[in-house]
Amino acid sequence: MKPEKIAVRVYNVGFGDCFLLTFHYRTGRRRVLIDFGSTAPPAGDPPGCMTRIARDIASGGRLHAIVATHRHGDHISGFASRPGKIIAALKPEVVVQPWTEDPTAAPDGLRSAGTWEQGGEDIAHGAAVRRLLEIGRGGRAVYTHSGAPSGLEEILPGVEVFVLGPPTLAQSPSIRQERARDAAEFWQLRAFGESPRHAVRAPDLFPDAPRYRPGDAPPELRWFLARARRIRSEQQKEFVRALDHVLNNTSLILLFRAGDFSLLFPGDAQIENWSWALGQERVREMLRQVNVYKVGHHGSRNATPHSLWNLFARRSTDPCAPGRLVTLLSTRSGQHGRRGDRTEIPRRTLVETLARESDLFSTESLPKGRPWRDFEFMLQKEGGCHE
Amino acid sequence: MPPLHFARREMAYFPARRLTVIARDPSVRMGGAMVRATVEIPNEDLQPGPRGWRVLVVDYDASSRILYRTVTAPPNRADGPPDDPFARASDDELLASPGFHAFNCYAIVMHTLARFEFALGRRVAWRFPGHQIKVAPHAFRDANAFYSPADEALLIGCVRPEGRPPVFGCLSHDIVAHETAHALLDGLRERYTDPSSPDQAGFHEGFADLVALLSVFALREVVARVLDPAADHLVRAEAVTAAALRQSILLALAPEFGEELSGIRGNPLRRSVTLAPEDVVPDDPEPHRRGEVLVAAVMDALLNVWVRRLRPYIRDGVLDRNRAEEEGAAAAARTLTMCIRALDYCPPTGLQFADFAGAVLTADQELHPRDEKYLFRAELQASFARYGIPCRPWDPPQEEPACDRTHFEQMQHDPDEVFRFLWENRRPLGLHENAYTKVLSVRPCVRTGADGFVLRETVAEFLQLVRLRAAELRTLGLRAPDGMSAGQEVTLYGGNTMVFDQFGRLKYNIGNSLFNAARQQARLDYLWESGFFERTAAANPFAAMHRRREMEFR
Repeated sequence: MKPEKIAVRVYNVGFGDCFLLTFHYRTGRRRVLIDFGSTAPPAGDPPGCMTRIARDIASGGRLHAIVATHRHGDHISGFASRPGKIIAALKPEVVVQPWTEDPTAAPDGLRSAGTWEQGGEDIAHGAAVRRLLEIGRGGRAVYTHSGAPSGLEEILPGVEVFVLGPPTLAQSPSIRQERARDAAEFWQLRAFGESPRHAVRAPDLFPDAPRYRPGDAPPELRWFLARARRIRSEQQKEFVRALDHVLNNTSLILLFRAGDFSLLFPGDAQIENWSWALGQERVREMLRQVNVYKVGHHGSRNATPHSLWNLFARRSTDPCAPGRLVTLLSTRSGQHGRRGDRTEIPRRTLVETLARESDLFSTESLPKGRPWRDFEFMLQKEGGCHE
Repeated sequence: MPPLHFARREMAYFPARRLTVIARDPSVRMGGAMVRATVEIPNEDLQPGPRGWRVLVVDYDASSRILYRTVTAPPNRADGPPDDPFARASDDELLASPGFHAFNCYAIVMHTLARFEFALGRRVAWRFPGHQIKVAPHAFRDANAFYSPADEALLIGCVRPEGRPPVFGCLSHDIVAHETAHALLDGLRERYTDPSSPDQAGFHEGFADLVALLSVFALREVVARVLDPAADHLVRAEAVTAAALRQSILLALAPEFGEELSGIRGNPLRRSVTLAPEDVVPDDPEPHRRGEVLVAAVMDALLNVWVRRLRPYIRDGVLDRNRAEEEGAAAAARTLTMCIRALDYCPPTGLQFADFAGAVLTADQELHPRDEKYLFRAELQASFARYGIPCRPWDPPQEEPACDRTHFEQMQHDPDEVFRFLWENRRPLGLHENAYTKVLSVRPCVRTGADGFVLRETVAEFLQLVRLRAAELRTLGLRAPDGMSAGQEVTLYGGNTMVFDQFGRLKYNIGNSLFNAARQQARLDYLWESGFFERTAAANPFAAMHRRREMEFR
């Protein structure tokens, strides 16, 4: 069984990502939601944009799977509160997330790290993460990594889903650097996330060594003890922030391939994440053939490496070229970075290149009151056609 | 008149103390046992902790919130050094004893401080107001260690990999020496943490790495481990070529163990002996890689000196092991002293590696006018040149400043008197007359050369600072970088280190003038390119610097 058509509904969530993929089979449809978050709604939109989108998704019937590429608000915030409830009620069968989210992962070992499932609101979108866990418990939660199965095989017959990223600790030394810490303490961050004030204490280093009873420290040392505790607490917060920051490097990169038609959804993957995938010839070959590219990280300057862009064989400066590469950009200008120092999102030079060498669609081009745009790709013909 | 009676005075305690330390870290072993060393430090009447007049060890683990009670130091005696409490402990006992960890830190911090004071010929103060630095050997569970000026402390972490014994930063000689060097350098040159150039940013790390590596190499026990440990009292000539020594340093001292600690110290040792001059990227803007270049250049010179010193002792393809060890440790100690001494001849702001290289040569030349025994200066000059660091000794000032209205006696310790000297001579010295000018320090020092001659100098540093809007930069012959708004405020720094001889004459006037347009422009362009004007400064530059090295994702 193979899909005859793939439809992509690109929702305008402002600064965020939300894509609904519908695979049309002769016998029915299979729907996969890739990300559901926003940190700044489209300019001029009335409140409740995510709820309206959730209702639209619900009105289409069953939702088979959710892919949450990484735990950043602009990708998962919708799963919290009301819109999240609407999505959860659809009872998706599978929730796919990067391996870093696996709550059962052992604190040590190179394959797994696990972030902190109970993460507090102030740290890492705790409510949304809890909702994803809950949906995963109702169905099947898949935590995957580069080269591993996606978990979508049964849902999408006739479609190959390749996981190109994120690499595991063993695969990527730069992520491993992040883990060069005390395994026990790392694990405790989960509890720390619950309440910084009740952080679990690290085990005693020298159980047999003489020590002062708690509260009995000599007066001359108390000043320093208070300082040391403050430094520790700052470090823990910094560590949580640092890992959160590096999560762009642990974003899922999925490549869907049906016959000779392929779509690439790299979430917010940045250069370190890509470098593992781009280092493998087999992957490079697959990337050359991509028909649809979801532009990484809302068009930031470092999520579409030149080495990736230059691989795409279907790029063309001829707007009428058959089978020309389609690029989908979900973004909202003026939210991050500054043009003066070339950090603005979306980056001007990237957008210009996308527009010149591909069929670019940006959510910013949608008129007010049109919350989405649909793309349809027929799979009978080589290369497919769209909309 | 009754006869005079003199009370017989006894020495209160012996002036030196000897303590066992782990020579590099617990992973470096010989015959299965940890390589230990005994270091000799100035003795004092220690409180439990140990807590002395410059160093307080506080064994508080903020991650488990436990304050350990530490062992009391053995009592002092008049007739010899006090007992070394850990001289006879087994390896396992050393690893498991928080008391030993505390003494290991105390000994290394004191030893590093003593090396600085010996090299500079005076007391070296911490940057912060207190006299005692706090050292927390098990401060937290994290692969990090840093010097925190605000907390007047060195905080050293440890990690507990699952299923394996803990890895303690405080047992690594280079981590403790590296952090101590940061603290001492900060005390000597408080403006070196200012954003300025890749060289200045790399210098703090590079210099701390140099101090750490050379302190370790100056221990004979470490040199013994580097030289073919299987050989008995003779070493093969093939083992003491520069290439063979690089290889054996790697094998002996940089095993693939303790990856957990790589976050704390990076791998300066490995880089320093493997970084070839042809691999150096000229004008590399990345501070850590710049720092590595400095370390590699100095290590290269050290190895060449060592090999040269050993050559005459080779007979029939072998040489005496004791001699080889002695020469290696002595060359490392001498190199370390040269590097520390150079600090007094470095400008107070805007340091470039070429300045440091010039300072090393000048400082050594003052003390050892003839460079016969080791040919150190020749080797260093060649090595700096190979690594792309221009290197020539400083020239004396071209104009003789007037000193008839200042009192040299007073100028040896009084910043106000030095300021008067500056003010009187502001034109011949080429100062910016409207800049904020401050004398940062005045330090008289006495150094003894190997030949017994004593060198007396007074070293004073001053800072000049102007704050201009971008549009006003052209008054100093500078142009605002492209894209900088006209109203952007920019601070420019200048300042010199003045070295006076024992007669009060200005011998050297080393620095970085506000009027040096080429240098000021380079700094401005670098800061603009690196996005400095976008960022706010990190609360603790040392913690952040180490963290960046660890993460490598920028």
